[in-house]
Amino acid sequence: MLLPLLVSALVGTTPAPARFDQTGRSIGPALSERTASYVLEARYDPANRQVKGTARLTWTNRSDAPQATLWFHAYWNAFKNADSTFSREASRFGSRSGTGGYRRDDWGWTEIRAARLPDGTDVRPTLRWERPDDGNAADQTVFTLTLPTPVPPQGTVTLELAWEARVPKLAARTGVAGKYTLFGQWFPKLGVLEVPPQRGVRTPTWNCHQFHASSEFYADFGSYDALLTVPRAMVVAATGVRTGRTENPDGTVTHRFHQDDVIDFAWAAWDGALEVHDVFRSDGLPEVALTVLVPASAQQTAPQAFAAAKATLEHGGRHWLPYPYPHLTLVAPPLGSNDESGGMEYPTFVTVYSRTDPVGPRDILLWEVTVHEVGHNWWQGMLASNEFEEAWLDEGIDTWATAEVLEGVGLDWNLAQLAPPGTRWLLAPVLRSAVADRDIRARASVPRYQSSIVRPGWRFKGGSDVGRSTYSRAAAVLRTLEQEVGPERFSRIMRTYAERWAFRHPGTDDFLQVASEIGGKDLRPLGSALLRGTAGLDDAVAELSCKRRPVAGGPGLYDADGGTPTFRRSRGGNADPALARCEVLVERRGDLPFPLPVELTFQDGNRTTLQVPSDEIWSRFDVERPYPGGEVVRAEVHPGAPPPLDANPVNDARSLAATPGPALSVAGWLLYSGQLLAAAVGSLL
Amino acid sequence: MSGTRRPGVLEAIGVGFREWRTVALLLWANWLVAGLMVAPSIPRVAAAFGHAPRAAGKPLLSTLLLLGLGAVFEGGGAPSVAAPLLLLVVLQTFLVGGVVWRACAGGPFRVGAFLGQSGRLVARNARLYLWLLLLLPVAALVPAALALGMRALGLPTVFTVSGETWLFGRPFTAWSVLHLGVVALAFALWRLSLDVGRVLLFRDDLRATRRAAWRAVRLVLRAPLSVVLYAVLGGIATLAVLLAARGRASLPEGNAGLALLALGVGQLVLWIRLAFQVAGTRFAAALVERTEPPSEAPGAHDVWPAERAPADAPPG
Repeated sequence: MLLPLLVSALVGTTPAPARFDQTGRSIGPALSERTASYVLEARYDPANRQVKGTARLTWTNRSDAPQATLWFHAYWNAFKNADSTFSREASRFGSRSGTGGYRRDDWGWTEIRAARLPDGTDVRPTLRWERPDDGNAADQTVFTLTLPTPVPPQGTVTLELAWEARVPKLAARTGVAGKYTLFGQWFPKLGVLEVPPQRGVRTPTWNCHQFHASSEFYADFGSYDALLTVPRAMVVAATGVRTGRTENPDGTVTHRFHQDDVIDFAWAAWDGALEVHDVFRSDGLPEVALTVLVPASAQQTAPQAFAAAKATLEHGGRHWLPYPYPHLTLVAPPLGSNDESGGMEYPTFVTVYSRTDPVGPRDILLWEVTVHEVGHNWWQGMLASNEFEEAWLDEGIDTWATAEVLEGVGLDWNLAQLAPPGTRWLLAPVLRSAVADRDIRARASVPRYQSSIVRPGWRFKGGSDVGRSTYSRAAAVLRTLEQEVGPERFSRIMRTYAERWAFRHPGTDDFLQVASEIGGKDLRPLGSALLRGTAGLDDAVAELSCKRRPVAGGPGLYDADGGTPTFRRSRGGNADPALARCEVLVERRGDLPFPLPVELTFQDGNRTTLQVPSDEIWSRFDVERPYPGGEVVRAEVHPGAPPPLDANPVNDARSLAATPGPALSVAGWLLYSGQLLAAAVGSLL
Repeated sequence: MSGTRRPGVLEAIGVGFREWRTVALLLWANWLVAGLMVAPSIPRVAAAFGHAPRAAGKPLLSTLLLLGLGAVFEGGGAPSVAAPLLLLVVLQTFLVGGVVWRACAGGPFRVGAFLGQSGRLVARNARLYLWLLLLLPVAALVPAALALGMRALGLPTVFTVSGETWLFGRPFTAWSVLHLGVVALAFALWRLSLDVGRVLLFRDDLRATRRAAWRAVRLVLRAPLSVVLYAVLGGIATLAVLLAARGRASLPEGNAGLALLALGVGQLVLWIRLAFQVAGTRFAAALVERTEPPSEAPGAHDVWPAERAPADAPPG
């Protein structure tokens, strides 16, 4: 205990009291219900890509009904053949991260060898493969075991499982690539028994979906204790805190890790990795030990991964909830495995990217992925939503959170940083840019969407539909709510949501409930419309024109004194009084019936705001004011506060005067690009 | 333009940049093609950005301008590429006759003469191109086979590294640059053969284009140093264009004047590129002069105006 105090005194920070000790065990009352806890033992034979493991599982029946049948995931069977639901969907979505390129030895599987109760009762014969989502008989990613005696309400059962698995070729953030193996979703894992009123269920219901190509996971909290035996040359990193390391006579090493109050356990075994350590310290926040695994060829990644992780721990700790765990591990995969295994989140263990020559001092590629994945430790790790069915609660909120952290540290996307080393000196000025992460994300907005945001991942139209909806669009929904209540209240909403639902399973309605309560207005109708509908938004000023019109009237037939229509010329001489008659056409090009104010700015500086009726998809406003000074020089919808979901913010405003700058910039660039293309093709002629 | 001098890169570049009228004609053709590409987009761009105060003053690489173009072209109006490039093929096949004339003969520039030479040679140049197009896959075979061999040995080339390497790793290593050099040499061999063939057609007034193509290939194969120098010329051209493009991209942005300035500087980039095109042809002409003095075939000199005969009109 003295050492942390001494260190704190030296570095001048006062950390918050720790919630866990240095072995990953909670100090004081448990933070979660610990419904499903595991003692895992696994031996990895990389030469044969084989894992043999046992799990002692302790599960508590939180419901008021006895439970005889337990539901489990066996995720690695997704990689067993081309007919698994995962393989079929990956093929249909055209996903690169599927089994389409697998050769004979690349397939992987999990086989349950034994399932026994502590008294020796064998329940393995009751194993039954289930296909709750699609009835695909070839899929073996969900199974049930039926106990001879049901687990009574609030009762606990312990099961001893033994399994054997072949590690698949790296795909979908799990598997082996050369000397690197990422173990994600690797052990037989219980589904979640949802208990009323959890996420709106009315009766206790098992939520245990198959492994899909475009969805993530859902699990109960528990304690994990893992003994992982690997060849001595392999560096091992895992969820939680390393509590032991034992050298075995057979040339292997057994690593022991422990962590309370987490929803999953993942690890990596990597021959040739560099292991680098650091510590996060900040006044009033718990101290966090940091570990980065990085390839030797990209070791410059480590300092940036540390810095980005610290920035997230700092921001999250101040704005959402202090990160309570004593350790955080970041794995920067070997080059060649970034696509398949980089950018994945598990509790206290995330994978990021490695880059041989990162751009200093802050490489946006490394920072963005690190901030995002570390951020998941809040929005998935601690607020354990059902990612199968409501992925936005993790990915959408975390996308919003990523932009918050990046803006907080003043880091934008600079496309020049994407140029490969050796060309940066030449290409940097061509690609130089500074685009905020939230603006990049806003480009995904369209006037009408294919799918609602809240829906199971496999029921989206395609891979890009999932990505657009659950990440960028959901983040824009949050910004829309922020606009409704103001940034200060919204900040309180997110903090309250995090505090209230930490170590539990929030659903969409739970979030909207908190938002309404803290936001000071009922945000449920708006939130539901945005999250459960397909309407988008593109409000536009389509036309703006003004004409000078003489006060005395234009040419035509007018009643003379006696009432006889008589032709009269226009009396609109330059010196005569005149009116500026302006027309403004406003259109709703999306389906969202948002209030649509239009601000008109007149030449004399006056302004007026008009409203488009909520049941109209367009309105034309005719305005007459004395000339000069009465011309509408600018019309703007949503003045001052463009809606975050707006598909095209450029058309939100229109000026009477031409803006040749942007038009010439874009047209000139198009022409120049065409010229370069023609010149390049000309080289072949 | 002495027949005894070695083909010189610097001399060719000098000719390329002195032939500014030729370059201007090529630039005109380039403008025409690029203009046709962009023409369908102009109404959309004007409608989207012509009265758009939100976009005013924003950098080109921003979500409101270039990164927002998807929304602008959602209903159509995206630039057209295929038809204008087809026109480019026709135009360049036509103009190349004039370019060869300028590279070989020098002397005073006359548009009428340029177009006359272009018209005189266009059919033969087109046939020659088609014959030499057959050589292109053969020339590509060497670097392709080398790339496959290197891949089997685990050595990287820019054509075989994974997409991930471009973003996270080092696509340019000693091996991949070496392979790029082989690619450049293979392309230089083909491209120089094309230029030499065109020079032969012009100088010797050959009608048999297949024979001309074969003669050109043999001539180039017998002059490996020239292939290397021609590749060096291409390398210098690429570097010069990239540096000029870099300078253009470094210009400030934000208003109409600066946009026009950028377009103007962009023309400089294209000018450099096209000047090097002329330089390449001049390099080929010098190679032909050095290695194959003009034949005494009847009629050959009929089309080589005496006042611009090689011996009389050294361009530098």
